[in-house]
Amino acid sequence: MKLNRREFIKLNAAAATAAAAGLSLPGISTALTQYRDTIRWDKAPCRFCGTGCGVLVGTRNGRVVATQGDLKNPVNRGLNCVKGYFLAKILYAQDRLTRPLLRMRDGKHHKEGHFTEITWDQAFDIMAEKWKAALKAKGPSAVGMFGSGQWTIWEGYAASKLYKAGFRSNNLDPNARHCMASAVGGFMRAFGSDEPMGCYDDLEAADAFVLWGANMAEMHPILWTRLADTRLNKPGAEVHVLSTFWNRCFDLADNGIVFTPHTDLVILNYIANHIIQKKAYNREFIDRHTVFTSAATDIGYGLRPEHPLERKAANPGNGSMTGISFEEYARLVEPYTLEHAAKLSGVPKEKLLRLAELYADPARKIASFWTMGFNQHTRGVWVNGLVYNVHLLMGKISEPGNSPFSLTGQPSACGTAREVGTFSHRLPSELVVTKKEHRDFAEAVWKLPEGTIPGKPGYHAVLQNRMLRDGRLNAYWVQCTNNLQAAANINQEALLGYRNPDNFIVVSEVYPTVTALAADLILPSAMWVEKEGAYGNAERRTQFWRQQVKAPGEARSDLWQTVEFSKRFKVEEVWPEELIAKKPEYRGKTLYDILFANGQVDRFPAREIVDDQGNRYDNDEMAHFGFYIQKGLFEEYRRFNVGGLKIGHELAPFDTYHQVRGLRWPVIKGQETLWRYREGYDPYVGKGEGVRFYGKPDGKARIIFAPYEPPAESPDEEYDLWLSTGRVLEHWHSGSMTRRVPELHRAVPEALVYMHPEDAKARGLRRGLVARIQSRRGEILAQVETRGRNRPPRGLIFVPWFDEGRLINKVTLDATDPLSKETDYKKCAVKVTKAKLV
Amino acid sequence: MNIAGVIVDALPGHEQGVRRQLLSVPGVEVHGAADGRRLIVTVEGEDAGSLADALAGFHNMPGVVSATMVYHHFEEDEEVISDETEQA
Repeated sequence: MKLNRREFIKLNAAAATAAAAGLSLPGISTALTQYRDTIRWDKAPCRFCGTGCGVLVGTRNGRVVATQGDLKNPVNRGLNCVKGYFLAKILYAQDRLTRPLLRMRDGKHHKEGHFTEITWDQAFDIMAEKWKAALKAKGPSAVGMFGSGQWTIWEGYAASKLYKAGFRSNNLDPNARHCMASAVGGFMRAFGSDEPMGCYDDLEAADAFVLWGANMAEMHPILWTRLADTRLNKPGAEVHVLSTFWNRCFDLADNGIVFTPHTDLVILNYIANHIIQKKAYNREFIDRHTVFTSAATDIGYGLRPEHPLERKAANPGNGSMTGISFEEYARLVEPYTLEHAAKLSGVPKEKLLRLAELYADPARKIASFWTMGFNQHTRGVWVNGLVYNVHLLMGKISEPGNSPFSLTGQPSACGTAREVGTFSHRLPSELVVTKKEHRDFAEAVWKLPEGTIPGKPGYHAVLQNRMLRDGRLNAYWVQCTNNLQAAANINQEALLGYRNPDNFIVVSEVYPTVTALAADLILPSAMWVEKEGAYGNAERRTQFWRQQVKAPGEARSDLWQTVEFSKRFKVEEVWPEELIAKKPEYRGKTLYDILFANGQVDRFPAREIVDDQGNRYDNDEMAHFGFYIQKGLFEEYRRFNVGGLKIGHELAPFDTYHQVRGLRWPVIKGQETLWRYREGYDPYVGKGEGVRFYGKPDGKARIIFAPYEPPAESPDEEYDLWLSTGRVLEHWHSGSMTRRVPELHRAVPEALVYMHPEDAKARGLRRGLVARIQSRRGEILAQVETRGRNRPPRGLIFVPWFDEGRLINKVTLDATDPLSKETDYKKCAVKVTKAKLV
Repeated sequence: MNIAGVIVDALPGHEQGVRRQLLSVPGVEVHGAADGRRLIVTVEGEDAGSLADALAGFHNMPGVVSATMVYHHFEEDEEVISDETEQA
């Protein structure tokens, strides 16, 4: 059989697709064996969401030309979602940034100047000048960095070292603050250890699934496919979907529940009350493995302190918990009756009852999933806790199928932001800057004098924007994120901060995003497989990849940029004399010498990267620095979790991850851990213990009562609708990558305002007309959609945030969970009118 | 050249309807089905846009649970590469 290349590719596509579906197509397989292709295939995790699907990347003549789902990867077993379509293309859009660009006028930097190409040397010159000036004038609090859950593990680790140790500033925070911080808060309070106890195997092991504010069908399509398979193939399996509007998941729902925003707090307390009233709880589990507490209440909304809501709050930002008895807990949830819950949530009683009875049935294994509906919530930490309460009361946790599971939105929100600890209060492996013992440990690993790392948390994401606006944070570096599009209330905070003449803003980017265009200096970055990398996904799986192709022009990885910049600082320029005096051998050295050429990070000599097929790969950072810097950073980082202060976070050696399709930590004696805290699965739980939540010194999880408290802003007479923001399947986050693939851009070109047809009609609008969406803070125009994949109830609109032409974050409110500091993007009050177009 | 391999998962009882809808899309071939309801589909775009439109359309077809991409190949210039596949 003779095939041209086109036919050959098509047969390859059919064969790979059939294999992923578990089907062989004999005719095709035979035809294909007669040919060999010149594509080099190698594994990498997908660049997009936190699912962490494996892909095979096909490279030919130095370009990525094909991708396919990796059959050997247990996460996705050969499948990819439609965003997999972008993977080969996101590297190659026309407007890729390839040279450093500085705003200049008359040959020098000017805040209102035009972006002008400069060299890397010139870029680091002006950055060093601005950083040194800020440090000299105001000290470490005047410099900061905003990073990313899309950073590779070593990029986050290097940034953490440069800021927390080098500049002695904790003003480092990741964009994961906007997506995961409430989940982290929930885990730490209940279990004393971050990240889920279960894993994706629960998608097959569970009998029932409950989605709490997670539109998995669009946001985590591969996990949704696995869930749907279980639902359709396992007798008796059912799916309950909770959301504030109808979405694609409701297609498969046995019990679809649309509730009034914020009343998830009520529904969860009702379920707990139901379990207690019916005496369905697992008394033995409760007695052996839990402690009851009650959260401090009236804690405010994380707004600026002068805001009337903050002044009114009795305990703003108070995260304390008081021990209570089971009986006291029972009394606290008692007012949350079925009648009360139905009234506040607007959900029919029979639907709530069915949900409660599902949780209360000891024979049913339940996996609960949530994402931004819970996390982007002014009571996000509380509501994360409330779902754990329900699972803990029943003992339905830490075993196959019984799994409260916080999903993530970014590919390494877990691996980098959370595990490396690039938050303003954290150090690697769950250590925190506020504990002297933790700082001492970090300083010892990093070979630093005692007292290098400051003990006060730095500015978190939302506070960074406020401090930029107020002119207190002046030298600021943004890497791998598009915060001017992503942050709430940008008109009144971030934009003014970026354009404040006192501030110098640097943005490392691959495309000219709105954030990049608001900067003073743009640095061109290498992305995804243009560098060697590592990500950690939502089920604790750490995955590595090799550099497949070169970055275009002068684009360089964020790792290279951070480490190279450290060469510009002599220690005397950043540390006080008394600190240097404790380590006189550092005198005259650069931050690069102290942090990276420290005998540890530079321990592994440069070598050729070759796979088991004999294919060779570049490693541009290794070539530049002269040592295997990724390995050096990772092995130093590993000293925090192997023999560190906290058990249960152990990672495998660097080289292992290049061989395997990821491993779920803790990795003990080469074995990954599927279910944490459970005897027989987790090696830290001893024989006869059954369960031990060893993140807490007493080994017990916390059941934490928290009441319903109202949202920061609710609809009123003038602003009479709820606004919820979110994502759509085709575009990932701010669209800076996906919107550059022209054909998909055409498929979903702009953000629509999804609303109920009656709400539209009442405002003189209908499908296809342009509406003005206004809040107290800003407004945008968008086309009305009354059908399709998102169908809000009356009183609520939904607008996705991927569209830089319709920046919905001009409209949103920067209220946060006062405990996690994560913004609530799901609730504010707006009005919608018919736009008068001129 | 722009070719994708996709598994289109139909709700039980909707296999034939989904298959019919798929075949009405230009560039689509159905190569078989696993478990009767997981259809093995390739899509070839005459231009890049039509492939994207086809993929976006799969998700909106009645009876479709999910459409998952398995394989995607794109090369800008077909002439240059057309002879490079060697026969073993």
